[in-house]
Parts: sequence; C-alpha cells; structure tokens
Amino acid sequence: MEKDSYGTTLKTIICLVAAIFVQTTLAQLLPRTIGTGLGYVDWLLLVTVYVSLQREPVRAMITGVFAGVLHDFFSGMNAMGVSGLGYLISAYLTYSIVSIIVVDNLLVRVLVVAASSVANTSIRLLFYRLLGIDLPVLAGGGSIASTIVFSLIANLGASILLYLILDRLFSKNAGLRLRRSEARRGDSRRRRLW
Amino acid sequence: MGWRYFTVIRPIVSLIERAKRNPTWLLGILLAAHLLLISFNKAPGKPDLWIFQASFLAITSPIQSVLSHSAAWVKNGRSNYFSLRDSRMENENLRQERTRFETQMLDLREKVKQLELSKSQTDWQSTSSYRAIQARVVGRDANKLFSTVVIDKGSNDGIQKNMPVIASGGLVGRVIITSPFSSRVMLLTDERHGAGAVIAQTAENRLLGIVKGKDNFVCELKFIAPPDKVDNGEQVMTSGQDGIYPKGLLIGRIRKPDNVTSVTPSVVEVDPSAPIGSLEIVSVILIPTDQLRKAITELAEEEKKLEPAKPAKSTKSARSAN
Repeated sequence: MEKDSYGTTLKTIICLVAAIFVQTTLAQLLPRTIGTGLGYVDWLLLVTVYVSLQREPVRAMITGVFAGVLHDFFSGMNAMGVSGLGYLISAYLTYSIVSIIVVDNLLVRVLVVAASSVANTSIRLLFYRLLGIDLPVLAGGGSIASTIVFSLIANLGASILLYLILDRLFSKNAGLRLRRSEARRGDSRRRRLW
Repeated sequence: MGWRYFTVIRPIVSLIERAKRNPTWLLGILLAAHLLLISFNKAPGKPDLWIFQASFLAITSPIQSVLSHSAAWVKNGRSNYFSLRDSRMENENLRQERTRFETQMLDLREKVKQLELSKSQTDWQSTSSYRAIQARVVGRDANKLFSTVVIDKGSNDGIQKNMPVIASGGLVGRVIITSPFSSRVMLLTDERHGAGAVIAQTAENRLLGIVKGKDNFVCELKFIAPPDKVDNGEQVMTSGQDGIYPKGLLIGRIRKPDNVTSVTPSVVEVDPSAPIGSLEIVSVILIPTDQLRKAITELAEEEKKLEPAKPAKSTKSARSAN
C-alpha cells in the first residue's frame, strides 16, 4: 500500500511535469488556428482535477499547490501564488463534489472539470485584476466572460482525451480509492450521529 | 526509528493524518500560505512595495494616524492648557493694568480740571485787587432746605465770618461759620441769603436790587425801583452796598423765560454764574468784613451821636441793611 502511494505520487509528479511542458510548448508547436484554441487549455488544472477525482484530499490539494508552483515558475513569476490558489480551490472544489457524488462517470467528470475551470479562471482573473496586472482579457466584462467560456470549452474538450490517458495510468488504484472514500464518508456520518 | 522520526517525520505524518480526517483544516492552512505568497507580489501602482508591505502600511497607517493625532491632541491640549493659563494670567494683569490706567486717567482728568479751575481763580485774582485763598469743597448740606457747603479752609487760614466766596464763574456765597480748619459757606441760592445787586445796563442807568436765594439753584432779583425794561441775559453784579460783598462781583444773568425776549417785572429770576451744583474749588476773598462795613458802622455811630434818644432804632436799621 505504501509502495502504491509512492507510485501514485511519482505518476502525479510526472503528469504535472508533462502538463507544464505541454502547456508551455504545445501552443507554439501546433498551427496557429489549433494553437490558439489549445492555448485556453489548462493542462495543470486538468491533472489536478484528475488527482482530486481520486478522492484523496491531501494528495489533491498538494497536487494543486505543486501545480501552482510549477505554473508560477514557468510563467515568469508575474503573480506568485495566484495560480496555486486557483488550483488549490479547484482541487478542493472537485474533492467536495466527488465526495458528495460518489459515482465516478463521465458526467461527474464533466461537471467537476467545468466547475474547476470556471473557478480557476475566475480566481486568476480576479487576482490579476486586484494585483493591477495589465492584461488584455481584463479590459472589460465581455472579454473576461469570453475567456472564462473559452477556457471552459477548451478544458472540457481536452479533459476527455487526457482523462482517457490518465485512466490507463492510474487505473490500478481507482477502485481502491473509491472504496476508501465510501468508508470515510460512512465514518464521518457515524461521528456526526454520535 | 531515530531522532529524525520524532522531530521531522512524525509531525508531518501526524499532520497528514489530521488533514485526511479534516481536509478543510489543510485547505485553510494552504489558503493562508497562498495569500501570504500573493502578498509578496508587487503592489499595484507601487512598484517598490510588496502587497504585504502595502497592506501592512494600509492597516497600520490608520492606527499610526490615530496614535499620532492622539499624541498631537494631547500635546496641543497640554500646550493650549498652559497657553490658556498664561493667557488668563496675562488677561488678569492686563485688566489690573487697565484699571490702573483708568484710575490714572481719571486722576489726570481731575488734575486737569482742578488746574483749569485754579487757573480761572488765579486769573480772577490777578485782575482783582482783593487777596483770596483757594479752598476745596469737602461737604454739602444734607438738608435740602438749606444750601450750604463745607470748605477745607478755616480760621487758621485767615478766613472770617461773612467773607465772600467766589468760584470760576462768579459769586458763590459767604462764610457763615468758621472753625480752625474748615468753614461753612452759605450759597447765594439759599433762601436765607441776600446780597445787594445791580444791573449795569448803561453807565447812567443802573438798576439796584436785592438778590435772594430760591430753590433749584436759582436766585431772584427784587428791584428797589422796578425798571421799564429788563433784557434777558443781562449781567447781575454785586452792588457793594450790603456791607458784605465787594462791588463788581458777577452774580449771574437774568433768566430768559421761554418765548419772551424782554420782561418788566419787579422780581426776576437770576441764573447764578458760578456752578453752584458742582462746586469743587472755591476762593474765599480775604477781605475783612469790618472794612466793608466801615462806612456803615461810622454812619451808624454818627447817627447815634446825633440822635442819642433813639440809639436802639438806628442800630436796628443798620442791622436790617445787612
């Protein structure tokens, strides 16, 4: 079990590194039409959400923090902590949703990715605005809303493909984690009753 | 299981286990850590300040401002208190000084007034052949029926009974009682007072009469022979025939009745020239009464010699002339 945990942690790290690599290079390698669309995809967020779907809150939040650190590090340290905050809240939001909805299916995944995407983009734009960072997307409500929507669509589209790959990578532990989550919920219910 | 387990690994494991049981707790810590990290970004509009510094400044500056204002208020209050106290003392000193100056001013005015009065007396003395002594009015009669004043010069200063008393404007009255250091003067407005008077209209036409006192600081002139016409404002002077007052002292002026330019009565009112109501300094003419009465006395003695059978009558008539 401990060995399995280390393996999952390693896989998570690899996924995060791969995600940041894709996020920083893919948009430039692909043609402009496709690259512009893929530029809205937040691969680190998708990895964080996927880890959060495993119903391991500590791992999910640590993953979010680590993803944020990577994002800040590779984005010129313009707004330290903002990405991490967005990923952290997205991770917790995902965990909160999947701890309520025990079923793990495509609809739930779409729901959590959509919620996480909106939350992450909104938090980032909000903090960029508060920090006075001059970005074209912050010019007005229309551009902010379009950014949120484009990010949502792009993340949802990318998540379908990415989660198929990640499912194969993390498949061994998925059932076990689901059972653990159910057991934890039952335990907390009993505590509340007592 | 070395010391590292107990000092490093065990707390971390304990933390993770606790976070697993209550993820919200971990979320709170991580959120706080992120907000702290965000606070180290540069503050918007202030490139030389971190958000942490700017926030710290934003939080502490009002407190500092309040403290600073409070300190300034206390300091100013203390300063104002002492200033107020000094101002109060200064105000008190100024008031005292003002009172002193007012007193000095009143004193100076008084001296000026006295000097003016003295000057007028001296002027009169310089034009008169009689010697006079100045005296200050120190008291007035409490009884309204009598018009007398007390002066601060008496027999020690050479003042005798019946000596005429004058002021800057004219005749005041005569001495009726003397003591070594003071004298009582009967004013010419006293109803008991009488003086021989003359209206010098022309050198040929001189109207004789007797001026007697009346109430309200007014005298009346009773003519011996009523004239045809008396003009208002004509001067009334002593005639020198009463044996008390020397000739030529100004008594007053004929009072001008309203809407009447001339009157022809046997008795007219006379306004005293001297300020009877506000006498302060007077002059007593040191003229011996015997000198004025010398002729009358000699005449009386001659009459007494010629008419030895009626000595009492002639003496009575001489007295009545007084």
